[in-house]
Amino acid sequence: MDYVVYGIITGCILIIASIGFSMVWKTENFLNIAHGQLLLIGAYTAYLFKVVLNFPFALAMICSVIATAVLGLLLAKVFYFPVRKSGILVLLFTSIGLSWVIYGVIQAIVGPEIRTFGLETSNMISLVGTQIMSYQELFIIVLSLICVGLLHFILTKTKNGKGFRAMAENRDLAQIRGINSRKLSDYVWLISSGLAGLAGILLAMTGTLNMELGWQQILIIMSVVIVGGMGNIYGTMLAALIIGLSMDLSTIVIPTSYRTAIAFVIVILVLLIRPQGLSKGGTT
Amino acid sequence: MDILLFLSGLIALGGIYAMLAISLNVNGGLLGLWDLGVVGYFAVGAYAYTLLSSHDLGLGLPMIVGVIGSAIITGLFSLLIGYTSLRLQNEYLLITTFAFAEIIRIIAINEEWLTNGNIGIFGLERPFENFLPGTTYMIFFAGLVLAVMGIYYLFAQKLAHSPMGRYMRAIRENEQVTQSIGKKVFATKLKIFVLSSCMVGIAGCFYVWYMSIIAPNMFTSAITFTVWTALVLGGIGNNRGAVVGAFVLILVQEATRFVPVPTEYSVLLAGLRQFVSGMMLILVLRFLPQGLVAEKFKSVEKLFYFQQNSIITEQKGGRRNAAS
Repeated sequence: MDYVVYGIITGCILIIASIGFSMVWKTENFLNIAHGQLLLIGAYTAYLFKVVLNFPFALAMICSVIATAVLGLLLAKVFYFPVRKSGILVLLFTSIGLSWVIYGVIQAIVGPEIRTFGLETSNMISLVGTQIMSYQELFIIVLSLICVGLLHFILTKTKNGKGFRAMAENRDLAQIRGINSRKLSDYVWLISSGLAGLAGILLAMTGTLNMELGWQQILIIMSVVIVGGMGNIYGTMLAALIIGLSMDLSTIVIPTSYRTAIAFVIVILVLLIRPQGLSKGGTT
Repeated sequence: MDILLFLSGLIALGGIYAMLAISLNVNGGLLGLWDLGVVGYFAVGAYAYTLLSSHDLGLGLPMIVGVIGSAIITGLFSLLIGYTSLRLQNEYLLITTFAFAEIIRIIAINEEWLTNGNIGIFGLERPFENFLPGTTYMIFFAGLVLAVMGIYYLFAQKLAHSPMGRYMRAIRENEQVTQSIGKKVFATKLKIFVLSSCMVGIAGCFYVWYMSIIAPNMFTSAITFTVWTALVLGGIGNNRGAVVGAFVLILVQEATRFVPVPTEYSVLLAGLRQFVSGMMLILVLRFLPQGLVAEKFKSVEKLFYFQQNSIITEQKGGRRNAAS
């Protein structure tokens, strides 16, 4: 039972982490490797607000999500937008370069030691006499559900959300129909970076803050997005849950250290059997 | 003497990375495969060599057998990886090869009976170490690396100018068209993929000799990114560019190690090194997208566009003349 709960939590964090990546892939057509480092930025700015500046945790979270979102947009404007015309390969390598830049800057500031947020361990919720999960874990699940719900609402009900879906399908056609693609892609970068920051905080909540967090997660995020199928947002959510659950459930059978390998095995199998991913393209 | 030792170490490491960059250029640059699994074949080559030739944990075979064996084993591994993944395109190939490389590393960490896990294997022998004492050895080793790198370079250059090289570029520029004139695209990709992986595997032996230890944390994905960065810096599709890029990158990353700094600044310096490498990659991509040394062969598509454009301008000019 514990493993199922852990799996769901891993899946929920993966959903938040990979939706942004998937949105950027859909609109800008490139794999943003630096997305993993945005998780790192989110986690460390939260640490800055919580531990160094002594904010309450909720406020620290909100501040760091906003900070990461704005920073993500700024980085995109400075580094990606000028080379957009040169093709996806250049964008891909620019994002690798940017990952190194972010990693280097954070490493220079925080140093090598491993930190935690120093949160008190919360009480367990018990149901019918058995302890299921802690409030902290419930908080993560509820938060990710809220994010998913909100995103669904934005994508299907608001004008900008519909515009995003149109732009993901066909950028030129959307522009002809009077959709302001420049403004929309700013929104996409904001949302995607903010979600990345949030995922970074949640990851650091369940574990520790270490420098390799970004590099470790980007691999799993890429697997999730591929398994979900070509930037399909709802497929990505499903794939995040499947991969999260199978990573944690697999630890019953095989050594824990093989946990991340499971994600890669799944992605290889999916690509070989069903190259288009779990669900075909399209954002709806 | 210290400086000489440091310099030869730098050249040796730069040479090993140049070997990797040349091998990667064969399948990544000339054939246009988005292969992020370099470190996987590197690790397989290094471990295969160690297990074949080490006396303590391995079979204790002669060194040369170890090197040849590591090339063969890496080739077989990459045949398996390539056969399963080469049908995929761009991003999908990238992620599959990346995933294979990570799986290889995770196996190296966990299968302790084979690889001695995270602790690794220490005190590995180097070639001709008995004949050359202490400090002069590193200079000899740098020379050895440079010599093998030269062979790699000549081989890759020969390959690039052969009919096979043209054929590879044709696949890179337009796969459908190449297929339509009756060329076997998949078989060629697989052949070149295995060839390039064998080259990476042999480079793995040199890496083992250079470090004289082997451990899984030597083979993180950072190596893959470093090699790709070197290739992009130098210019994709150009062997000379691969060598230049590798040496420039290693110089930037390693030169600062020689500066004596207090230990409290060493972390800052490590961060700065990453920052500079990343910035270099971004700036080169922004202002010199072809790399420091651009590929000599004009891509066919560009030639075609050039002709098209010139025809169009002529026509426009003609019309204007007629109108006036």
